[in-house]
Amino acid sequence: MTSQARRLAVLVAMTYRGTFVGGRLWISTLLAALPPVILGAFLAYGVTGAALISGFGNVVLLLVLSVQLPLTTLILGVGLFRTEIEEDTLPFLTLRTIARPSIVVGKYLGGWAAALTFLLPSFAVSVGVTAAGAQGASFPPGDLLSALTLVLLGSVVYLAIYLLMGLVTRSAVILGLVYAFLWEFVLRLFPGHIPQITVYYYLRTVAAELTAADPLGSYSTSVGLGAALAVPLGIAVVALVLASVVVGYVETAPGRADG
Amino acid sequence: MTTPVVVATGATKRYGEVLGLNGFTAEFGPGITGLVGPNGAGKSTFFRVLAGQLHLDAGQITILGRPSSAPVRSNHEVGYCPESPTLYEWMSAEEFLRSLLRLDGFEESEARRRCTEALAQVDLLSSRDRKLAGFSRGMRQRVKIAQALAHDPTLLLLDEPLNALDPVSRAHLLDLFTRLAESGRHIILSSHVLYEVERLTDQIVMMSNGRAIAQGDLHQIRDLIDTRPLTVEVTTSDPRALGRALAGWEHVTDVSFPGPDKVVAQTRSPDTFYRALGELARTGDVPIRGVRGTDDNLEAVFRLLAE
Repeated sequence: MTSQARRLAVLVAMTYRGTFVGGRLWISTLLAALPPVILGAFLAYGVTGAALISGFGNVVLLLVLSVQLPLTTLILGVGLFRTEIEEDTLPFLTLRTIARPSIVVGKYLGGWAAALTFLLPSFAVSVGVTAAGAQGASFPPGDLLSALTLVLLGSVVYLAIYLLMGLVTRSAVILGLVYAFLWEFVLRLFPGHIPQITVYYYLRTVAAELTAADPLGSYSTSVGLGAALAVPLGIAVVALVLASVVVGYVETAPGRADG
Repeated sequence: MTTPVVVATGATKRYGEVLGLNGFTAEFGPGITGLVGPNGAGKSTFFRVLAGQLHLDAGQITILGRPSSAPVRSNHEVGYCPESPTLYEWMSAEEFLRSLLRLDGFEESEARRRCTEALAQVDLLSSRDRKLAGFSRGMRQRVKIAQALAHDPTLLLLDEPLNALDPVSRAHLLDLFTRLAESGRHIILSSHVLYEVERLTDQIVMMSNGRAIAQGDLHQIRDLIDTRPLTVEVTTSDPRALGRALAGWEHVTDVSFPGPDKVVAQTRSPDTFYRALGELARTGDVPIRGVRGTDDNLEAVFRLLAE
């Protein structure tokens, strides 16, 4: 392991541990509990078999992709730099010999690992609850892979976007909410090519390409799997590169100093 | 011939319409240099420029011969103690220091050794395993200082390092800074209390409204200040006992009790006052939790110097 890689690993571990504190922990846990709880409620109300499996797909689309994923990554991503800037702890990192881009990557990977700590168990329990009530029915081919890819790819791209927002603006939470619920949610409802300027469009395309079964498999799209994978990953890379530039060359102090 | 370690020439930093630094021109070091000024003078802005957090709008600052605007690739030469008391609260003191040392590229065993050494220097070895969230303001100051010096930098930038410290801790750190300077390190430390800086160095830069208003030998500046009374606020759990003690000192001209745990004294001889208060704290007869020189009188001196 090279010296910079070791430093990166230390920062990933620091960031990961620092995520599990305060309001972020509780809100992310609450969001993680929602999908399994709702599927459990379906089960309690007698929804079983193929209907429950279809319900799983709808929960993934309407709750995980539209609410849990953007909110969890917003809560975790915005704070990766914003909290440090506001509390003036960023110099503890930036004045070390770890390279500035490594700080961005380390914080991103730590934040992503933390996001997956909430998202993957939530996903696994949701699958378990659905399987428990399947009564002999099975998940359609590709359904679980499709849903899991949504979670993984979605967390990759949204976290990078929110990390950048947290770095460049004090109003990152508000901006992030506007992005998640106006840009991503509203624009995808427009006709024509407008939905293509949302990340949702590409995530939904990936999901639809990996399974043919409803509801995950039904989505009208004009791009293939390769492009649908490349665009979100490209956005994540661009966001991280921009973040590296910001950390390297732009002011990262809180408001006007007192002293 | 002595070469300054930090040179500011016409350094200007704007926050919108407000000037944080206003053509600030001064030289710092070698050895210890005190940067003294009231709150809002621009001291923290200056440190943040040195730390690379802020960029100048005009002028320039060189640190160890390099312009502050140059992207710093290796910061082993600089240790920075920011003013903010916030730390990584979820970590213990040892984890905090060790992690930062690992980010500096030290191997685990070396990081552990340096961490122990730095915590010992600030007298925090016994609290090494405690979570930082439970640290008092004074302990936080000492942890920040420990992280600034753990990697053995050439230049230490200490923004208000003596804030919120009890007299015993202050004395301990003043001794530490002296030892560090004697071992060849350069220190720039800021304070709004001239008298604590005076115990460390004769080299001083006085700052007001983003400008250097006096620089060089402290004694002339001190003579000016000694002709004016100074007001000091002391925090204690036994204000009656402290008030009685202070009232007995010849140089104290007024004692008042603005809060249940606060005593405010006015003294004609700040130097004597701080020495006597340190002695009183060491005896343990009166518990003293904090000392703060109020700015009003100091600002009057700054205004006088600025005229």
